[in-house]
Amino acid sequence: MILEYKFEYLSNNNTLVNFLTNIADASDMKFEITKEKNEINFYVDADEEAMSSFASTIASDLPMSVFLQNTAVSLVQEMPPSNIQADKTKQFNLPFCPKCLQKAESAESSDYYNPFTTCPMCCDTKDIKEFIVSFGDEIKRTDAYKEVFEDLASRIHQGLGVRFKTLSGTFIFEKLENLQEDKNQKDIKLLCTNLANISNVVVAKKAEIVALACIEKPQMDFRINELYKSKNIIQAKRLSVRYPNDLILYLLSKELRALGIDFLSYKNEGSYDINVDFENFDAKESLKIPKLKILEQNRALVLESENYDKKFMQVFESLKEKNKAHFMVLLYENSLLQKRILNFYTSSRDDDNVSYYAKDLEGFLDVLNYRLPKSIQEVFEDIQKEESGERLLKNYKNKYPDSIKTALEFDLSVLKNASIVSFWKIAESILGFKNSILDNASLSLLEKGPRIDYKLFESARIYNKEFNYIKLIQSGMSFRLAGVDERTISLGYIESYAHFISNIADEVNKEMELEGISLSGDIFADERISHYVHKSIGKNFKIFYNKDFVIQTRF
Amino acid sequence: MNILILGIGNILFQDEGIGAHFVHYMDEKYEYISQKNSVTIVDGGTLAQRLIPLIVRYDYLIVVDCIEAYDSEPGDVYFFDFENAPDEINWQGSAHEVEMLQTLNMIRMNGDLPPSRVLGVIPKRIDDDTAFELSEEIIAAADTMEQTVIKHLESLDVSLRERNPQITISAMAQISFKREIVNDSGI
Ligand SMILES: [Zn+2]
Repeated sequence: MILEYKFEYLSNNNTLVNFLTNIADASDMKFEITKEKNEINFYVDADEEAMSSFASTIASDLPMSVFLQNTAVSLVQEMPPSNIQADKTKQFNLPFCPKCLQKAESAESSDYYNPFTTCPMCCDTKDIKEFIVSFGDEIKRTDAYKEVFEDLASRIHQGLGVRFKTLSGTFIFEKLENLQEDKNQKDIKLLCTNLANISNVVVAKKAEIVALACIEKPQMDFRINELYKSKNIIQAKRLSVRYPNDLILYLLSKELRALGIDFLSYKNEGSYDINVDFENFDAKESLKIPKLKILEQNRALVLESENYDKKFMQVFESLKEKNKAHFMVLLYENSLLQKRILNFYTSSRDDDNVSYYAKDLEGFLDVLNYRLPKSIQEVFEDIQKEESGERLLKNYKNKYPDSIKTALEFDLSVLKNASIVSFWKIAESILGFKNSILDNASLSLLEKGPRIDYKLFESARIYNKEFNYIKLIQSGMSFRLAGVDERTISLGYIESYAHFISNIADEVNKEMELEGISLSGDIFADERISHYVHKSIGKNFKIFYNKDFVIQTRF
Repeated sequence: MNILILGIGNILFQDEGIGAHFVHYMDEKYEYISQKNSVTIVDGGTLAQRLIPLIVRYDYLIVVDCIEAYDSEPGDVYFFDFENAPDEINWQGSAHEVEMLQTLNMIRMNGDLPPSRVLGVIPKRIDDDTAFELSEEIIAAADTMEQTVIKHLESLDVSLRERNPQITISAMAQISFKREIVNDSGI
């Protein structure tokens, strides 16, 4: 009999193919693998008995991946020839695989509690022979790993800080209660040692918890749980959390769990009591920790990573404008070069842009650009020219003189990017908001906000349109005058932005018959924006993102 | 038959938002029960260009909006067939950005317009920024509008059951901007 395993895999990396090949080879199965776009099909041919034992091997040895969307198994008649091969000669550099974990956890195994192994699928650390533990004046070399982990866990439990070398670099770990928050520190990094209790500290969805445990072992941002926040241990609103990505941290976590410790904080520098080091590890081989965001649709967006095909970097660097560079890589990554695609690039770090790509265009067509006003004074003057603008401004001045005054002090030359985020900053200032529109919206408990006007200046052409920001500011002012609170108005700004995107897509679609919409830039990793964008265009258009390439570059 | 009740209006300008407020009010107050027909309510204010593909999916349309008419007083209510609008009525879709008349005419030219009725009301123009406050005239008119819709739906074999009898049009006007429609069949 021939079984077909169908995997929907939203990455161009070969990890899944490599694991499938390795598992089939180890079981001596006859198999073929085909890949077509996001679909990887794995065919195995065996008798019923072998098949059923193989099914359980797959279940235990195939790691979960954040890129794996769907799996289905069915009985088929034929086995097509493979069109993709595993990388057989390469040593992979991945967090521990299920097999290595089994070895380290099984008391019968010779590698029981040994964090250093050699494995063709994940990491090769067999040259590391022992820990070098320094505590006070004492320096000890030991390979009695279980004892070391037990001892360190109880020291951490007592409140000591441990500087630990890991396969991803050296960090100082301590329990959360000892955390000294640095106000300049942007994010607080946590290692969750027990995913079952993650919700005690942060607000995490099931898909996000699953993602933390996946083979990629990503780092992800979470909002602090309100109950935990009230204990006043941590002040920061956002916490960057990951799960152990090597066996060193995994085995340490196992001992910590036994002591009721579910989280450690970690940082790169600072004071510590104990140092744990090892030799014979090439830092160049260190495991990179990708930063991800899991969207509502269970889709993983890569925020930071070095695990993409380097040829995409060449594509990226061949284009000067960031938005076009991201768009081009996205087209390559999704094999869309023959299609008609509209890209929205919305970023907190660059100029925004909406552009259209089609094969016969030999380039891109800019649909929309933003132009920032030079000063808040200019904004008010423009509002005054609008119908009923004068009255609005007069009423607003009467009711909120302070907001007007503070807004006029806002020096717009600090806004470096012609982007919607810059316009939101202008709105925040004029509306006297205490927090940013994005933060406010993310905290709003409502599903629907007031309608904020996102308009384009009238123009007969569909390219090079200009954004009418005056309406954007005016409508916010009207809602504030009507007594709507800051958070709800902010939600309106976010929700209406999604409608705006959908309107532009409809307009362009009328002329160009789009085959998809692509979204790039870090703003699309925002939960609320992503939610509304999918809600308003998801039904009518197929949505594409970058796959392994970052959604927004940092350079 | 799938019936669409579409409210149009700019809620930032008091009475001019009545179309939107009124459909939220009807949505909050009633459930719509029918063996053969379904009733979907839409606040058209948030949809802009999406109105055309929306409307053509339905078999019957009731648009609620502000209108102007000769010899009329604020609060006067008109209910008429879109194809046979009374001569005295001047309806530009209440001069909102959603040009309703133009939109419906476009659909009609394509031959896709379902039988359409307009429930129009004359607004009172107030020049201040009290946004969600409705005039007494329009509050009184909302009663007539409600009875008109109920009667008309009954003639289409739809009966109404009260869901939230306490709701008033003026209370709804304060919150409709952030309210989600319940009677949304998702057609
Ligand atoms: Zn392994």
